[in-house]
Amino acid sequence: MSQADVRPTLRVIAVLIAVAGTIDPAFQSVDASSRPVVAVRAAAEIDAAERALRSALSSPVITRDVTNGRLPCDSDDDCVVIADGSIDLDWDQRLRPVSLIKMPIAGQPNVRMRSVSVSRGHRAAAGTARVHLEGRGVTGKRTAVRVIDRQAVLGAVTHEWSTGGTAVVDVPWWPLDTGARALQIEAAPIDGEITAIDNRIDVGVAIAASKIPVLIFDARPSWHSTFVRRALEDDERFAVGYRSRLAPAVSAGTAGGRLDAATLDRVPLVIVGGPDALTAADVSLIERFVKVRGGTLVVLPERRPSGESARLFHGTWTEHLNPTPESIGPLRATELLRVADVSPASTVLAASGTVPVIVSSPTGAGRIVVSGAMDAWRYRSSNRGALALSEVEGFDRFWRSLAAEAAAAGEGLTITFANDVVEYGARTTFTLRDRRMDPSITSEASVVQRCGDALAQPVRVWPRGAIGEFAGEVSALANGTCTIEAGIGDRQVSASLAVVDHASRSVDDTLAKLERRVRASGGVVTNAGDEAAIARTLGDDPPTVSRVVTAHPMRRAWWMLPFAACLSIEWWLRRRAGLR
Amino acid sequence: MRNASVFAAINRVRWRWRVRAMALAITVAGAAFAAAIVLSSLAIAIGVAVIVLPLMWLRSASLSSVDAARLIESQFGALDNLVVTAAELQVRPREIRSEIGDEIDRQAAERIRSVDPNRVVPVAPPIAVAAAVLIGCGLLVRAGGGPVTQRIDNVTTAGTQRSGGPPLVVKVTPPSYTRRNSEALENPLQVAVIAGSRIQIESGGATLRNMMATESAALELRVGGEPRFLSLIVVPDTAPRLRVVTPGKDTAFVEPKGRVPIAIESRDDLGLASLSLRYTKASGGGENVSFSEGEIPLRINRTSDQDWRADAALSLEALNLADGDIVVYRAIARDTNPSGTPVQSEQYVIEIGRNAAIVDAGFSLPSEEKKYAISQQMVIYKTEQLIAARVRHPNDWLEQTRMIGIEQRMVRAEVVFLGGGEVEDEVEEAAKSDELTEGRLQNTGRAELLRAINAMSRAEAQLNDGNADAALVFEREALASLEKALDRRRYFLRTLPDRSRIDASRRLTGERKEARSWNRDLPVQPANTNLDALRRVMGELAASLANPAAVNASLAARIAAIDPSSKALQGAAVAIAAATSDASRQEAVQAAMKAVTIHALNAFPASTAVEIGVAPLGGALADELARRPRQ
Repeated sequence: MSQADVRPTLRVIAVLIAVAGTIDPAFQSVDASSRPVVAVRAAAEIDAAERALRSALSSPVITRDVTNGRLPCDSDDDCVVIADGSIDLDWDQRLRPVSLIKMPIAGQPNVRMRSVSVSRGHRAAAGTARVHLEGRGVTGKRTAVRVIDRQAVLGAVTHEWSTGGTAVVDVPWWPLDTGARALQIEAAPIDGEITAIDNRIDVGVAIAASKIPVLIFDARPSWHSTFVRRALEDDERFAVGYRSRLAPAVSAGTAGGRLDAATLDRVPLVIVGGPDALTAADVSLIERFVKVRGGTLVVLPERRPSGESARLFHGTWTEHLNPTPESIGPLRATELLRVADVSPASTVLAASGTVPVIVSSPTGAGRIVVSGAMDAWRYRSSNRGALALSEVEGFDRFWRSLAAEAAAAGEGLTITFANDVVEYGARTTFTLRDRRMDPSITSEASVVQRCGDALAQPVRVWPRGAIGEFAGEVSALANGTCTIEAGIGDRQVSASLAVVDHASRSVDDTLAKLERRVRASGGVVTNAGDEAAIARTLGDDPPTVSRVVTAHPMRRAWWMLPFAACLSIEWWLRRRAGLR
Repeated sequence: MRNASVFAAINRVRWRWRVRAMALAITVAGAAFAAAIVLSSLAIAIGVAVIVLPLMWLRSASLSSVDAARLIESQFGALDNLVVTAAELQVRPREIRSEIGDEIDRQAAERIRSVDPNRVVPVAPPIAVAAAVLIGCGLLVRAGGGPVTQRIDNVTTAGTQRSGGPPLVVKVTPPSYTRRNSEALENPLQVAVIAGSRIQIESGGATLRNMMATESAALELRVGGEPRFLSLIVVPDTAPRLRVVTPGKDTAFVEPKGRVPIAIESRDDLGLASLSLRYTKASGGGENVSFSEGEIPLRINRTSDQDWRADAALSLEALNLADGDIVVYRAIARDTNPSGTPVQSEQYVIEIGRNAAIVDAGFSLPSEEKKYAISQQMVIYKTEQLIAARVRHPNDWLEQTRMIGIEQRMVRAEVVFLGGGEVEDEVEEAAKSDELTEGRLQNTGRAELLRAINAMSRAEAQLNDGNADAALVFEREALASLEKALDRRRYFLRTLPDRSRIDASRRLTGERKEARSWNRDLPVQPANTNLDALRRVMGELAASLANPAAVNASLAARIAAIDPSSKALQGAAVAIAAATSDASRQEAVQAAMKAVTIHALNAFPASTAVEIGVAPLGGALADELARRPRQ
């Protein structure tokens, strides 16, 4: 080829490169090579685990992040979640199992927030957040625990670690507004703490504004229930209906205070004083209220259970008298009823030493709370709004808190969310329950969802099996609050869900939940350092699905080199030839 | 010198060069001084100038004759190097023919006449610049010691407080009885004054507020359109403290002989006005008790206006006491506050008589029931005396009745304490007593005691309102009930904790005609306006974390307005108003949040953590476990 031929050839090649780059052709091929494994980043630091996974697997590994709380894998992907519990995620049914590499937090010093439980919120009262902490290498250090609502610090307590281990801290807080609130419970990192990813848990709490109806029924006059009633009457959260049977045909009380089916359908909480004087009809009605209606019964005995009312007392109760007052949880009493064989399903609220005295026992759809501190009313204190939690809390405060919790649990029509606080765009399930004294044979529910300023959208619900019980799912479509309004028959209820950008959950709970989901999907759960177990599992099931791969060969930067080289050589040759 | 005119011109140029060099040195040193005083302190700035000035001077001050000649030649091109040659020949003489030398001198001298040294080395501009720099440095120094940045910060601070207007002046005039001087404060954020002070707030010659300080307040003022915050803390004039140091206890003597030394100490925050020791003698017994009153002279030692001590010797012979008589004495102090009420000390008793259980002289107590009955009789006596002497108390009638009201309250407190504690109502009282298990007799005695206490409360209320006549009726009722209670029992039972059971056998055995309905008065819930204010303020504080511009005097005023008497909130408000940088604003907001939260938690009814367990399948599990026997 002569020089005169080379030059145009080079020029044509350069033009062809430019034209091809402009057209950018695509070429498709079938790839039957190994399917890549998707490593999902659900931890603060996964580099080491990811490297180990890559070296353990023969297939290529690509890494993706969690978006909107959802697993970023296709249904037929081999998916391995690397999690330390700081990021929660969920997924729908899949063709392929999901595996899990757990990265537990080791080392010290570290303070971990294991769980938080928040008392029922009401606009007219302060709340308490009970925080369970675990500390390693924290002896002599102080941890500040705060309750925050949208950057407003609503409560703070400092815990001083005398030793490591676990600690329970009660943090008083006050409500900023009504409705669903997302509270951030955080423990400020101590000096040198190895990680802060386990220092915060977000909880949702519904702050109510309406009064809580309570019925107090004295089968005979009772000191115990008198002072409990006074404690509730003096608190604006409660609308107390009262009836006391003074004589067989004589009773005194409020207009709405009657022990009948209509009232029991309406109130979530019934407090019974002088239960030894209850008649068989009374006990049957109250039992129905608890077992069928799902209400909460609080029994205030003043002697050993006997008569018709004995069947309201689960377990064997014995009387015990002390010469001096004994602390029974936050109460003090000398006359005690103690139960020996409390059911494993029951919750002990207060004990005399190790023997339960105040016990909540689930029964049917409801629960019965028995207070065996029979003369606690004698030793009630008058702490009102005190911040000093180290001192013995007052009679009034205990009963008001118990009544608020008990009433919330005993509502007739309830909406319960799987998560009280969710991230924007995430979905959560809810259960709608309708309980009545006389359940109807059929039940029809209507549910709508309102998120932010959006219009109400109907939500489809499905029956769960029991009459009056439905399940549904909602999406958090707006930051702030999403409200679910439901109606069944003549009853209406609404519940709100707090929606945030990012919700922190207990790392233990998150890891446990992920582990359950992974095992349910047929996947493998392993700890960091044992990635080979996953490799073995995935290796047993080699990829067989072929993929169609699309290629764009002109999308490469190195095409500039031949382009520039062709033009440069062509120019050099022309110049050598003396051409312009 | 070969050519005087040439060298005169050269010397003039050299001199002007030195002046210019000095001016430049001054300019550079002044600039360094100004930079140093801005960034550091005056002392450092002076040191810098002192170093820079001679350096600059030494660097550029010298100009040789030859250089001066060259300088002249460079400015005046027609000299043809003659001046330089002449200077060179002068500085470094060499062998040349005299006629050449003379010609050089002649031509140089002729041409030098056209040289203007001012044009060669102009000194006016450097001198002017140096002068300007010196003036500037002087102004900087006059602005005050310390770095200018600090001054700027101070100006900024002052600007923040008085931005948009003239300074805020708060004039405080304390009450005259305090004998304190008036003071004027400029741009304060917080002012603490004594109650009753006159507060006048001015700005730009205009009076914004003129008020009497009676209670703490948070003021938001508008000065030049800008909000300004002022926290006003009103400190009340506390009543004097008074104590009978010696003997400090009740005493008894077999015979009315001897002298009882009495020592008293009294303190007040502002100043005491008077101190006296008064006694009441009760003679006789039962319903035939007669009373007489008097005053015991005191020797007062005024350690200071605020601290007085006094002592007296009570002569028992001078009181003409007989067997069974009682003398009750107490000290009374007044402070300089004309509207303050006098303060009375604890009352102590001197009993004369052989019946007193004497351990040693001066260490015994009278029997309790007599003490209480006599105390109530004393109150009645004093009230009667006061009513009889009404015309002698036209101006201080209320004060006199309130003094008796104090005594009535003290008697009531003693009787209530004797009965075992505060009494709210019959149901509350029944919960604490044991008379239900002991029979109706005790119940009646207790009821009489309750009536006596009730009547005493009413009497005190009437006395506090100045209604001595109406109070006397209740006082006599109280005495009657007290005596009935005392007649039925020889001793008072303290409340004993015991097992309490409703005695069912006693049910429905009372008089039905006495049965009546009773509705318990529910406590009035306070208005929630304060709680709403707390919520609003907390919301604003949270929002201000992202918007520092919202941290201003208006926010401070709203924080303080939640509860002007709260020191924590007032302090938080002052910190908010005084914050000038973003960091200090963040700190102030965090501190304010903490103060608001503490205040809110005190306002709200507290709760306790109670977990009753609400597992959805818990009931089914429990029922199943109950159905199956445990193995």
